[in-house]
Amino acid sequence: MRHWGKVVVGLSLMGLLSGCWSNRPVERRNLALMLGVGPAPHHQIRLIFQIPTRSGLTGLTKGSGASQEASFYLIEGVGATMTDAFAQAQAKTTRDLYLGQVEVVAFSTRLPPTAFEQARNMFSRLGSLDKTAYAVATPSVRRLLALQPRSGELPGIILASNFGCLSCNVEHLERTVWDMETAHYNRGINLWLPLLSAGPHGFEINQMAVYAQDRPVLILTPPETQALGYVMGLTHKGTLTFRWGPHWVALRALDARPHFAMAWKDGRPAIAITLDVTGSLAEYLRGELTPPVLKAVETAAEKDLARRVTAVLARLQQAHVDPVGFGQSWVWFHPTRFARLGSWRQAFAHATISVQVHLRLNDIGDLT
Amino acid sequence: MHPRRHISPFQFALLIAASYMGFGIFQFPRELVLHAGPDALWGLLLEFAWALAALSLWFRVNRLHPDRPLFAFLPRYLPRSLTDLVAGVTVALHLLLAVVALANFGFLMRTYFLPETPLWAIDGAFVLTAVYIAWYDIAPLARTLETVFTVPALLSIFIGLLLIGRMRFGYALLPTTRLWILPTLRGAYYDAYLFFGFEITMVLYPLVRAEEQATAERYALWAMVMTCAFFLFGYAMVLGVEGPFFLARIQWPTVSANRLVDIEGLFVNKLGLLVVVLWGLMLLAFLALRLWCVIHDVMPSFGSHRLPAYRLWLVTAAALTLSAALAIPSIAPLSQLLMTVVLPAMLGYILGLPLFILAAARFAHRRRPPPRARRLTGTRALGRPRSRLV
Repeated sequence: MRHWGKVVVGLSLMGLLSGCWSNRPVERRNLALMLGVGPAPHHQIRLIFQIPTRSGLTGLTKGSGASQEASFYLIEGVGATMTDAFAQAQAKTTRDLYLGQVEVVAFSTRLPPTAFEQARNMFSRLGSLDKTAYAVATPSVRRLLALQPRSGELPGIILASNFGCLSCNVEHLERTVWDMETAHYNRGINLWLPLLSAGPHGFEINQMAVYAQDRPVLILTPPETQALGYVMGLTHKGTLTFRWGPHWVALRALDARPHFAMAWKDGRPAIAITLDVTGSLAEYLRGELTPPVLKAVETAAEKDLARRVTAVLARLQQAHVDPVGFGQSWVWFHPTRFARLGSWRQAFAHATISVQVHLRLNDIGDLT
Repeated sequence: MHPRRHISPFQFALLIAASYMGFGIFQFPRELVLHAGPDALWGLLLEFAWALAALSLWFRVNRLHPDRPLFAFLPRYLPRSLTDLVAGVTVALHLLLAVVALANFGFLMRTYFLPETPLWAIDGAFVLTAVYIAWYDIAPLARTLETVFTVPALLSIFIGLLLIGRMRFGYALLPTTRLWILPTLRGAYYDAYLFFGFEITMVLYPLVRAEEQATAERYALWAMVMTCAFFLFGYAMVLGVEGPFFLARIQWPTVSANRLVDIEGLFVNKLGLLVVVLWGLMLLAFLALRLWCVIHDVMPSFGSHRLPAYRLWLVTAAALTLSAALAIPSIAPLSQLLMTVVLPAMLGYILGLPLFILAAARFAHRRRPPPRARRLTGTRALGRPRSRLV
């Protein structure tokens, strides 16, 4: 009898913490896989939830490809705050909008800074939101979330697997909600997000949006993104094409290991960047590739790459943004050093930057 | 009360470690980084130093009368009224610590795991489990800890290693070469809650066999050194993953970092969150020990030494703890309570009381020399291990 008493008490205690109070069967939930935050008229926020349909989820579980039905639908809400927009979206459905399965959160590049800040603040406070969900910037949230991939698969799943695949992309541009939070609160670094566009053939991810004070101030082109990716350690399958006399030379599979040396010279920062790059020769049409010629190709490639990297860093300096985070250590350990120049952003804008590239082609293929 | 049950030196060390680990592990090292800034590492090392020194100081108090709990021998040195006052303060602080720890974990559970479960259900479940752990007194409590304590500790280290891949702010781990005294002291002060609780040695020490007490002291100190290493590792991981400025804004930095650990393909892919739940075991141990201590401080004053009375006091203390925890509306007033009331009170108690008792004992021994037998062994009241006397 006493033994049974213990069992009953034990089960009761487990019952208290089982979470059954908030349990809702999955068929009564709207599991949002993608979430979009965009601007709405009258300075309001538009919140769009991408909800997989039953056939979308079934196709997912079976692992099959195309489906005749749409694999998802959208629910929208508009409000002065994120909470209002969420409430309005919730009112449009009889099921519980659930954010625990969100794979991708998209922010419009046209989102006003206050709205962006509100969104980030709410996501930080939401205990149920998975902070490892991917965060992206996009020119049009509605267009992005409405894009149905031709494969019929769920967009959120495609994007999540794409970001999670280290060998699928030229640059590893994956950013999470957590990264957004750390970049916002930590000083000496600016937030950047991958720019995700809805192209005619699906998603396009090869650009970077750099933020300053909750507003994207710089959208880098794909070549610029790749060049900056070398400095940030993000580019692992880079390409480089340059003229060599009358012909083109193309390199591929470029991978860089960046090294920085920081100093304070003449009242401003001096940043020396060294890139150790390895790669393969993809196209070379000009005669036999002897060791001196190969060395000359490498030297030409080093110069070209250094020029590209210097150019993109100069653009960052002009925009007063530092997504690399060169100044983080200084801001933490020597916060008074920038007093004369203002913030680190100002100091970075006045910094002298030198770029040195050491490039080795370790694969020239089966042709001399 | 009931036949005395002895505990081994290992159990003693484990109980001492369990008496503080469940309290500050969730919000550590926010206050440290917030107040010490780049000198946080020095602040943490200073904190380790004072904790080890304070524990050694408490052992010196224990050695005054190694076979008796504090409030059984304190009247020899202090007036009865003052002893009662100290006992009352001790009980109040035990309950206060239990309330803060319980409320904190309840809010954490509600934020991350059980958003719609009422707080009374969360806190109630933990209090009832703590009562059950303490129901059969100290020996089963120690054995329970032996079983459950190592798993969360080892898993925490494993999760910490998995976090290395997410470290983006490694620069913040570097120690400053130019030490600022005031921020370092402030950091060590505001983070001192990390070791609150080890003063339960005043009740536990006599439960160790006399010939094993020196060993138990050594084990407890080594356990604290290992705990310091554990906290240092946690500090490095959390700071490196969150960055110093963000860390200072997060309510529960260690939990936020653990949430990032995601192992695809594993049945429980959010392994970091599982570890946080397992840290609940540390909280349970903390609560059970507090309740046990409250009763052992209270019962001698009422002259009751029987098991039914022990259990009655246990349930009363638990009900008080639960009621007070539920009366705290949110984490913001709780943090304020911790920083403005609990922190100065506990720090003053942990550091001030042993010094006061040792001074009072020295004064009393001067006025009334110890028995001849003790003089023959060379003991001069202070600082000698009991094992020499028995």
